[in-house]
Amino acid sequence: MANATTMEAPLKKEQEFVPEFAGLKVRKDSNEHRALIQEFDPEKKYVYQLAAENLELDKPVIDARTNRPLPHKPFKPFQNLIMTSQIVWNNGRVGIRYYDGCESIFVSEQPKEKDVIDQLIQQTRRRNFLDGKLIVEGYEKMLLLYLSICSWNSESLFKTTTSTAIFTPQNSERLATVESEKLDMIEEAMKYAREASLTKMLIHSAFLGIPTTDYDSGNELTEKEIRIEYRKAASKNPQSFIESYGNKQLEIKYYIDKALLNGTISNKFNPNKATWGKGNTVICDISGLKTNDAISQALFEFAKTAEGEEFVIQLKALNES
Amino acid sequence: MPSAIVRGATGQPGPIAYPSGITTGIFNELNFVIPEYIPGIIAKYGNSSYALVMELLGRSSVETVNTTTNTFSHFEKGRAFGSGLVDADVTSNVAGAAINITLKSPQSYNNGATGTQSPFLLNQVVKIRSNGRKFRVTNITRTTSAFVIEATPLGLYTLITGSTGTTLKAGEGLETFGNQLAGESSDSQGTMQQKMYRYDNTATVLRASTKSSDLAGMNKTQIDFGGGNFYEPALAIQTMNQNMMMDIEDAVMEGVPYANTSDTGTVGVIPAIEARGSEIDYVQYAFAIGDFQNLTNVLDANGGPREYHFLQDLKQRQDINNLLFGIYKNGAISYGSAGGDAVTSAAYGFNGFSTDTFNFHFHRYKAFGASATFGYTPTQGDYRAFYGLAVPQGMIQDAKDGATRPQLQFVYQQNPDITAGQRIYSWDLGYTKATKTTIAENKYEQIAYVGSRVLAAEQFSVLKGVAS
Repeated sequence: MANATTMEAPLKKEQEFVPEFAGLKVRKDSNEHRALIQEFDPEKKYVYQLAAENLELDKPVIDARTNRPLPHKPFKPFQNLIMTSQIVWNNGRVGIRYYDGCESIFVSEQPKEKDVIDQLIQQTRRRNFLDGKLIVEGYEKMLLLYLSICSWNSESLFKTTTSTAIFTPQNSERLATVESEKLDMIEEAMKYAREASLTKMLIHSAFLGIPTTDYDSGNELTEKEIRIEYRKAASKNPQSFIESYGNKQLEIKYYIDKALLNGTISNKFNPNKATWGKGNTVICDISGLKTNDAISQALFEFAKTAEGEEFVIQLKALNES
Repeated sequence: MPSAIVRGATGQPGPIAYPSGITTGIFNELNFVIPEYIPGIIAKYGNSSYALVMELLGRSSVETVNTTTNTFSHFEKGRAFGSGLVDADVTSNVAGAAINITLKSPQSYNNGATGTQSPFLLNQVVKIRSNGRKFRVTNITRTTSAFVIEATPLGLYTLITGSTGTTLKAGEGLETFGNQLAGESSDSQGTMQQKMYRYDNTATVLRASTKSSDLAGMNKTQIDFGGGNFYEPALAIQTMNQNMMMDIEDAVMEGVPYANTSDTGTVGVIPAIEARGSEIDYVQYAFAIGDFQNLTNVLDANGGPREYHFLQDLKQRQDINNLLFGIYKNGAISYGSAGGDAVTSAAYGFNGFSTDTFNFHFHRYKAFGASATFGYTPTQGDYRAFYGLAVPQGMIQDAKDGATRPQLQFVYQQNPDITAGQRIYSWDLGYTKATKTTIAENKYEQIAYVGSRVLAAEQFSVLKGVAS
């Protein structure tokens, strides 16, 4: 086609490199670039914690003087920090190593002369995790850079897939956020626990395993007594409390269990059929099921089907009447 | 009258004529050739090496002891010399003036249900580690979570960290001594005693059985299963024996957790050491002399003896060989003593290396490797690859009874009805045995009650190669 307009191929966007940044070429705004420009507060201390915790032994250590068990120590008393690592850098495997006083942690940028390296090795202080913790001063920039990108760091973006995760950085701000989120969750769960209607609380309490009768006397617990336990459950495990709160399925299960207990639903007319107690109207087939739990589960499964919709409506109407 | 030819006789016409002589074709007809064979049975994957730690390390490092109770204990004492750490920065800007130092827990005092135990006493002289300056403890406030000592300098100086500034920094080491400046007409001082620890462990129960039917036990084979026994059950019994020995070895070394069961297991040697001892990591295939120095530093700090035995998997052994043979090209590796005489040591494959006042003996411990023991190569991780366990060779004194003993023990629970010293009790019953059964079969049973005891696990160490 002679008249066809000629089009220029779209230009491939040129990658912008940061020239010779810290002796290395890295792409602007890449993980590598971000790692190299990260800043450490010289006034702060940075804490790293061993990733692996000791399993609790079946027999605790006993303080022989007081004859009481000593607390479990979660970490080894001593573990050294390895000062050499290989990382995935600019899509390739690269060696890094830390020496006190050396201007780069990248092997390619470090001195090559044997006597200089020997000198660097000799002058480098050994660092160790004591009782699981390694504390590094904020002014140790090269060491902190090494710790943040080496493959031993479980959160390193440059970790090789084959490497062993030895430690995890203890970011105090992140820990505080986690703690704060947990507290928020407790507050939210407590709010639900305080404000839930009696019916809602009873339904949810049944799911949470909160008793409604006093074990010793056999007396029914009052609303106030149940709510105390309900609130305790909210603060103890807020996440599961919130997740299960207001769950419609729990409501149906509760109504079914209640109906089975008070005989509104039974199988006495036909052991293989669940029927409405008075009208002898068949709800569903329960052939072969003997226990209340199994029958309750079968009714619950039935309630979730299209055929069971009417059953659910009736069940709710009964409880709301 | 003679009878006619006897009817019923067979065998006619008698021999067969072979005009060209006999060939191998005759064997096809008769097929009665018994081939030459070696009667003994060959182990396809080599002789199953028990590689038992007891055999490897000798009785100066490993001991077998008995217990009469399922739970057995030992006592250990802590350090004799007290120390503490400063919990938070304290300003000290007036020479000679007392300051209040809050101590860090648990390094300085026990801040738990057992109260506030600490090595600090009134009138004690305490030394600051960073500069050697001494002070006297002039008051102590033993409050939980806020254990405070009042420190009054012995000289006309401030109590700071290092030699400049006005701050005694958090983390500063404080080392306690007695009253070094009691003066005239001094009164008695406070008492200090080393901490005592009790370590309990239990014996786990190991069982193994072999059952053989009457026919399996009475058909003689052409294979000598050992000791001139040509009957097949002998092989199953041998397998049971080997498995029982390795079961005991693994139970003692690696432990048998039991928290999720209603039975009682045992805490293993390695879990105890991993919880209480040290770990030195190095990069796989790149073991360096500095890694040895890391190890000797920590052994020295924990009061380890001069002599150590390394149980290693083959990969770590190769890493160390590469380093040592690389450095000591003239072959200065000593095949020295390993808890016995040099000949015995060499026979078990030890060789030694000395550095920083410590002597190390290396031995490849087959039980760490999956390939040699189980015949496969792990592809989803291997927790004992490039793994080594440094076991101190030395006799340690028990804090309770004063007896000296090796630091690693196999503890067997004894049944009073069983001959003393019998570690694995075996018995049999069946239709040809002393105890008869109605079924025509024989049963062979084994049982062992065993646990581990690690004395001063702090002096042991793990050396681990990590993948880069």
